[in-house]
Amino acid sequence: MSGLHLLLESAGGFALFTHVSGDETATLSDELQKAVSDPAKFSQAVKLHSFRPFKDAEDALSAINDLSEGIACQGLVDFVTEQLGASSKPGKSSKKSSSGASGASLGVVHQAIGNALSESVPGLSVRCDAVTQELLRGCRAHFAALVGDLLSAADIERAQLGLAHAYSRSKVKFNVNRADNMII
Amino acid sequence: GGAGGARGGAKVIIEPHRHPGIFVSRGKEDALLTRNMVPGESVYNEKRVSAEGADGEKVEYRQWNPFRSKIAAAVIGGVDNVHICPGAKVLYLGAASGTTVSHVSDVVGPTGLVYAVEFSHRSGRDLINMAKKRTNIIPIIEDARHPHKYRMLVGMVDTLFADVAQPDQARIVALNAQYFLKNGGTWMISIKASCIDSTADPNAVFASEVKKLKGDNLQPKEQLTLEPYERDHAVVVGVYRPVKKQKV
Repeated sequence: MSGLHLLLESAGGFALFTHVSGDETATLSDELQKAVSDPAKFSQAVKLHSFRPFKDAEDALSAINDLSEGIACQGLVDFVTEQLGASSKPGKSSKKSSSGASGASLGVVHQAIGNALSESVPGLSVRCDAVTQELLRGCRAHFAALVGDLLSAADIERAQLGLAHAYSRSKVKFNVNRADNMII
Repeated sequence: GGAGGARGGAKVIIEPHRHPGIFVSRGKEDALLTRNMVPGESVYNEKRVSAEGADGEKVEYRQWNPFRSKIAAAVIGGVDNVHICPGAKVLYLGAASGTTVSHVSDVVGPTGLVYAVEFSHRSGRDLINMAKKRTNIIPIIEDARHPHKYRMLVGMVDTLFADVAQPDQARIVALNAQYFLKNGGTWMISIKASCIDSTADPNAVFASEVKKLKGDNLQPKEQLTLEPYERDHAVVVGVYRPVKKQKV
């Protein structure tokens, strides 16, 4: 089986999920909509593959700074390569030529990070479409349940709070003109 | 309900509003209130009122001004359901300096959460400072047009409120809902007619905005104007991806 994986970037770290139930064409059907809403059904269809927590607040801040610009930070590239990379070649020597032996495909929520990852991880095929976005909605909704003991819902919220303050403060501070960026 | 004395000994009676988490003071003039999460402090110089709770404990409330908050105006205008209640997780687009956000933070309380998105840095500074004392507010200084930029900071929410006053606001709401609003979740949008089209009839503008929202699975439930608090403003409340009823 080739297998579809899903990448969810959280304030606590990067999470990779595996979509185990094969019938993904039905994702947009009413049936799967219900499954996405139901935590018990969803956790049968999607399992946690692995989770890479951020080392510290600085690590998390640099990750979101990169991610918001559509850049895959080294931590994310390493994580995806280690988990899904077809070859163990370090760096970005060969682009897509390596015959993706593993056939792993990675579902992402936004095309920019998909492009960045497929350039940096040899043999990785990236998907960003209605199906992956739907599945990732489910991953976001049931994140605490899917990661289990690694992070509690309270841990996730604390991570969001800390990271949002750090990110927002840096945005306001790094406004070079000190003028406001008024919108029209 | 608890009766208590406000400053100066004026007699004020505080009652819970029909909407959970919102209160009303009955006195010389009725006023909308929220229970202050940070007793002893006002956020924007709004009045505070104290009363004794059921267990004799002092509880402080803050007045919520409908001229300064569209949600307060909608509540007084008789909106059927605001869907902002204790424990709710709310994504708030167009948070500005956070005056209304602070009341939403009071309403959802310590078990709820408000993700407050504001793009303007000037307002954003005030928002961040206010949020320092209210840990159920997650301040996000970013463009609501690009939810992917703040996707790491936001979880799935029960309610999405938008007061962005942008011509493409229907699209902004649809995009954010797609990322963060759960199936069957509620959305509420404030539409300022002149921000969409300053020459058209306001009712025509509201109708065309509602049509756009419907096209993105944002099913409207009710609509009300904010007279007399705001001119040519409407609030539309609806459900995202309503869970389909079984055919009988």
